[in-house]
Amino acid sequence: MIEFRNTKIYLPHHAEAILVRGLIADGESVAIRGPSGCGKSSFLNAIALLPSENSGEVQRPEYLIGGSSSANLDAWELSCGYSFQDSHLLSHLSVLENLLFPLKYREPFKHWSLELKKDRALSFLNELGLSHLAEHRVESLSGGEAQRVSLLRACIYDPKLLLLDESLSALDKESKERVKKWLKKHIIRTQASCLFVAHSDEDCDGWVDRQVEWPLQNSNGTLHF
Amino acid sequence: MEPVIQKKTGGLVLLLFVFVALIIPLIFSTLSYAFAGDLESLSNIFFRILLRSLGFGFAQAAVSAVLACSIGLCVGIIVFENGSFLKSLLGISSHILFVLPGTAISLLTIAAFKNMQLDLPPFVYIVAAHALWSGLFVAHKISSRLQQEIESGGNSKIALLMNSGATTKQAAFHILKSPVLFELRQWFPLILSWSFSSFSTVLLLGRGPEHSTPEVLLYFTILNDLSPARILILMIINFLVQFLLFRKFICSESTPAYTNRSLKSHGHLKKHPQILSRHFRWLAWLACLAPLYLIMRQFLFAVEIPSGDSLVLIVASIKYSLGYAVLTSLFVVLISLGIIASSTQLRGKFILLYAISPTLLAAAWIKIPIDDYLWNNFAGSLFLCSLLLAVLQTPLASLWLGQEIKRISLAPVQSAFSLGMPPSKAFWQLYVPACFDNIKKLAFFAFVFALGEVALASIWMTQWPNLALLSRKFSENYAFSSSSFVFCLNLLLALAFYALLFESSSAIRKLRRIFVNS
Repeated sequence: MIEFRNTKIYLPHHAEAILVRGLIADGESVAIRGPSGCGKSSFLNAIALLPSENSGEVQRPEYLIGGSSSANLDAWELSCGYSFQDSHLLSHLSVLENLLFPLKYREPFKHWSLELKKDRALSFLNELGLSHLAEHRVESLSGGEAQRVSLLRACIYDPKLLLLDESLSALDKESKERVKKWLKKHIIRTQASCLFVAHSDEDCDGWVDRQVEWPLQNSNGTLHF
Repeated sequence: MEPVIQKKTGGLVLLLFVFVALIIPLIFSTLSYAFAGDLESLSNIFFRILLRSLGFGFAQAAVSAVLACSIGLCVGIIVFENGSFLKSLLGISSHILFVLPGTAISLLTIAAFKNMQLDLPPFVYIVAAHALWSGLFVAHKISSRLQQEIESGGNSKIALLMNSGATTKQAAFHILKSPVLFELRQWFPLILSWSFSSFSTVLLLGRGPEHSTPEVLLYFTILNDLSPARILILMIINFLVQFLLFRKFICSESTPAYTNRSLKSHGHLKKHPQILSRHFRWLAWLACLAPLYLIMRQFLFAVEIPSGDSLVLIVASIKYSLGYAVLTSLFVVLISLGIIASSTQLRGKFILLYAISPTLLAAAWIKIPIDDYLWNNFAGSLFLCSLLLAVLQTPLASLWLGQEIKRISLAPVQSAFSLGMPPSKAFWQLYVPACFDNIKKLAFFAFVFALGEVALASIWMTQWPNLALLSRKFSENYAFSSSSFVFCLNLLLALAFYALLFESSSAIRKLRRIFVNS
């Protein structure tokens, strides 16, 4: 569960902070809808406690994740899976190596043997029909394939919080439906709280539990979950 | 974006290599010299010599810097106008010769002027030597900058001005004037400082204490005079002057973002705007490249393969030279990375440590009691000399590498952090591989700098001379043919290292992959 108690979130190029209230329960997925360029991706970056291109100092937002405060955590300690808008796959690694990457650092997987980690990664790839890409270089992937690999990489270590930034936008209709079903199943199985940034109804239909609108200028910059 | 890394690693590197090797010996030796001070040695004659050397140092540095910038401007524009082949040739030659200054410039100048039987005052030789090779370096910087301007939209701006009625020359002058002036402003104080602290060129071409800078005067005092008070005064003067010159450099630190990557991404343009008029272009060719041709021609005539004892000395010296250069290169890369891994705010002021010259550090280390057995052991002294030379280079090296690291894209770092990779690992596994090309450049510069280093080697490695020191010794004994041969060997070693580092990229890529995946 992730809970915001009037959390102030500072975004680059925004004069005022955004105030966030409410909670996302375990196994629940919430979509955020809003126009392009309003700061939704920066909002996810801030939630993930990631450094920003524009500011050296990060104003760390304070919220509760699984009962503990984010104030005491750094980005690499937060149990958060993030599927970026531009995939952000590590280009010097293969698809399989990208999936193995978080398993090297995250509990309890870092104690697993390499064989077990590989089995897990391959089974994840298989679930979305991507096992044939395991040894491929990242550069050779299409936009849709890269997006699905990025999604799998974010989910593979069963994080408590899942942040998805337009993760279905580059997929065709058939793949989109398959990914939606898989995501729904995965979130319920792992009891993760999922925050999904989307543009279209089509991306949200059938798997998202709730939708919230990005705060407009006249709503005092408050986001209610 | 600043790399977010553990401060412990960098703090340890700073403590070990900068404070222990640089600061503590300086403080210790200053106190030792001060307590052993023989004030009667500070006579009026000493202060007169000191003032004369300061005056000589500044005069030759100022004239060298003005001439280097003028030569650099002309050659830079010529190379820019005449395509990429000349540009890459200038790039390689200027970088190698620029960091091999002592041996290269003095040797070539002697080879040229001695063979031509010109009896000119030492001031002229020194200025000619400094200006010619610093000039080539400035030329390379200016031509690269002009190329960058053109590829980042300069051509369209020129076309726009031409549509408004300006001629090609007027339009090109208007658009390219500011970046060229910026480069000149950037390099002038640095060349002034480098020429002022130039050691082997002044030592060789100055023909003794009569025509020396405070740096060379310090060397003569350490070698012959041994008066603690005089050494102390010279150390302080040397440091203060360099420190003040470097403050000037720090003021103009903000170099605009410019990388080879950005040049490559735009591709080469087929046509450059012509800035110089036809007559002026020919004049510039003659004025700048004719002396270079004459010197090279005279130099090549002077080269002869030595025989007997000289050859034995040379073969032994290759070993010492390679050991010195490889160790220094390794130390510079490791210490610089270690320093960058610490607080990045430190690097701005850190550059001031570059004001400590090799002669100054050698003078400081003389006072450090070292176990005789260790010191007389070849490996021990080579190790220490390499370490000291590396420590001297790290302020500039870490500043430059730090700036390059800041330009790395944030995407993979964000990705790695979100997947649980801690910053210390992200630094070594993401930042370091991403700036691998820059690390290779740094290793190359450190290697070539150590190949041409004379000051520390003259004081600490007399029994195991590197090629640069041997070449200087041959020159001092008027064995110019052997000296020229040794210089050629030095140049060949530099080129071989260049080929090894930059041409064997596939092998290095494999190693890098293994390193990243492990």
